[in-house]
Amino acid sequence: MNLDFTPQQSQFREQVRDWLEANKPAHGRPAEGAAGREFDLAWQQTLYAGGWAGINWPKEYGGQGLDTYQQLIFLMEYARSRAPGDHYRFNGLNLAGPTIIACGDEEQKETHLPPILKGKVIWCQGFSEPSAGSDLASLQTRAVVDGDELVVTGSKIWTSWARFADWQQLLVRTDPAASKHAGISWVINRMDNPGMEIRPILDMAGGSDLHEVFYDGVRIPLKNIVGGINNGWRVSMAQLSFERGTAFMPAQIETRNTIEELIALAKRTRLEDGRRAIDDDHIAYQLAKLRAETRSLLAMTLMGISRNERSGMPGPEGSMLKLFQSELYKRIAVLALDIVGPDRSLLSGLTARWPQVFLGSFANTIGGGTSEVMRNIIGERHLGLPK
Amino acid sequence: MDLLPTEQQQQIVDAAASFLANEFPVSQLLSPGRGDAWFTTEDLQQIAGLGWLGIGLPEEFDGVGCTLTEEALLFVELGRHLLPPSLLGSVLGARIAALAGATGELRAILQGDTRVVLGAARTNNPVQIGAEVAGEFLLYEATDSALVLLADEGAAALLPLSALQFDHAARCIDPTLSLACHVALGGPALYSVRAEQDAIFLRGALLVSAMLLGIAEATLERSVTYARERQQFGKPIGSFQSIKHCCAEMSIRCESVRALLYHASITLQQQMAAGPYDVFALKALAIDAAQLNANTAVQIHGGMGYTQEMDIHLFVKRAQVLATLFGSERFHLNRLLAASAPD
Repeated sequence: MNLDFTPQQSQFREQVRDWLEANKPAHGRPAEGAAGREFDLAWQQTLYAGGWAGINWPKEYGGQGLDTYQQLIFLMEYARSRAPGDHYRFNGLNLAGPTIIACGDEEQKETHLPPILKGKVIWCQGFSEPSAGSDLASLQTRAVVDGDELVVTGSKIWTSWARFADWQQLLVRTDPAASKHAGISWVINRMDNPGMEIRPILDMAGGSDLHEVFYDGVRIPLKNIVGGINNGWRVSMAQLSFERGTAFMPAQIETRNTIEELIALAKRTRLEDGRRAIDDDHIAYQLAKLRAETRSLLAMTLMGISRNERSGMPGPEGSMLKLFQSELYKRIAVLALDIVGPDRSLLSGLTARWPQVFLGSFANTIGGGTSEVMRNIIGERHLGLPK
Repeated sequence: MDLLPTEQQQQIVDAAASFLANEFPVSQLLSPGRGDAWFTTEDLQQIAGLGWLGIGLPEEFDGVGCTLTEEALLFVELGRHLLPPSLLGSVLGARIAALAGATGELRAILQGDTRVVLGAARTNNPVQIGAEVAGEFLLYEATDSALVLLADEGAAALLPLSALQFDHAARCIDPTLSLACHVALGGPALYSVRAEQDAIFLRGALLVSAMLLGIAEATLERSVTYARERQQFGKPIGSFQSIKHCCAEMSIRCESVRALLYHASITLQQQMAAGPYDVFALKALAIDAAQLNANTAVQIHGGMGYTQEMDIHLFVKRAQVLATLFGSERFHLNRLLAASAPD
């Protein structure tokens, strides 16, 4: 057991730190959609030009071909430098890209991987449906083979940034007679494909990055099926084995930054009785507990990476970290409102960030698997409790 | 960077777990008339014979020469099997004796001839711990020939029981431990160590946290086993989400404390700036995990969990005792919030 990094790894850390300091964007990301897309693509182009795109992606597709520890170091330094988040780049870099690396054929890899790293395309995900949320495998969007094409009819929901995306990873039912996990295929779909209709959904935090997407006889070439027809469930699980636990490092550091900013806020905020918020026992107790849990989140992330490195397989830590971090972040957000006090009602001005964090924090315990599903997974797969 | 036990470290854990399961099964504590003096000098000597009391002590002091990480791994198993806190007294007492150059006491502690018992200061009198010791202390497992180890964040002191004035015996919430109240009137300690010389208090807090983790894990394991077997409404109760999700939360508490225990054992051992910070966070979370898991285990076991026919109540009670040793949750949270966050 050790926390040591080799001299080469430390040197790599210095290089990452120096480059980010010199090259990260001077201005914040615009919240608005089309401008956000331009910002995200431009930043990805800068990363690519600097030789920092796809740290652990294979070299032949434009990646850097580096190991898990270099990926870990890069992500730590990246988050520390407060460089822009993944935003619209998220799906391509973390979900669709890794899935194609793990399961795609040569043509699919050559066609789709370099544009992701070069900052030319945005990807989105069509998994959930109105009647298939936590029970994703019951999805009903149909795809019928017609010649060398699939013809897709149905609808998807919760598709983030759909109207700003070029490509989509789409789960469709190609064999309605098979058992529910067995008849699904994972396909690559163009977002400007005829027969699609995209409707934005306004979320409770005021964003409109979520969408419902309708498919009416949409034609997709058979060669866009990744990992073989009716094999989509296994393909959608494959991306889990790619990240090797480093996926949680950004969220871990963001949580740390947020609790530290909240502690700083509590030191300069006055309560009704004139005391500083941090001098209130109730607030201090909660801040300290959240700080303790956040410290543990770092250790859990490092232990998860170590476990993945040894076994080569993702273990229970994925579900545990997701549940632990998202619930922790929600508690931080609730406490923030208590510290902000009456100004929590203000969605403008200096403290507007905190009610925004609060409203946005609800997404984390729902998206990517609800907390309830995470607890089922931990109970059944990790503890061996019966279904 | 590798935050998991090495093969060698895992061997220590496995050997300890199987020894304890054979020689000190928790079930032995359930036999009637077992009382609070069950852990004999022979038991202590048997454990001393394994080298456990000097596992983290350098070889020049007749220790095994391992680190705080191996100590922590061992104390998780000791906590899981409800071995008494005086084993922690011995480990820390040996450290103080070694630092003081007290070779006679060091040998007696490492061989298990002398017991080192722990105490918690009562707060109704002023407390002083250092070269001189004053205050009122609740001592667990006190026997006539024992040494007493008292520590706070400033210093740790080792003194013979006879240096304290017996005030009164008391019934302990934990039926496997004796308890008595003793008063120190400001006399000199036999040996004392300031925190700058050696972080006895923080090492103690870390190792108590390891024992608390043992309790959190033991009560999770028992709950999962019971929830798989116990049938109601025609199915195992573990299939109900109300039970399953309780168990999932218990297991996350274990995972979060275990990860932080590993991290803290390295940062404290290597005297990194983050060491004390990690220990403050660890002790607060470990108290929570042990208490919540043990308390939840009673609920999952239903009526049987409320009886003394099962062992769950012993974990509930031990968790309360351990919470008072080497700093309360409130103490550690206060220190944590006052510290600046490591990078």
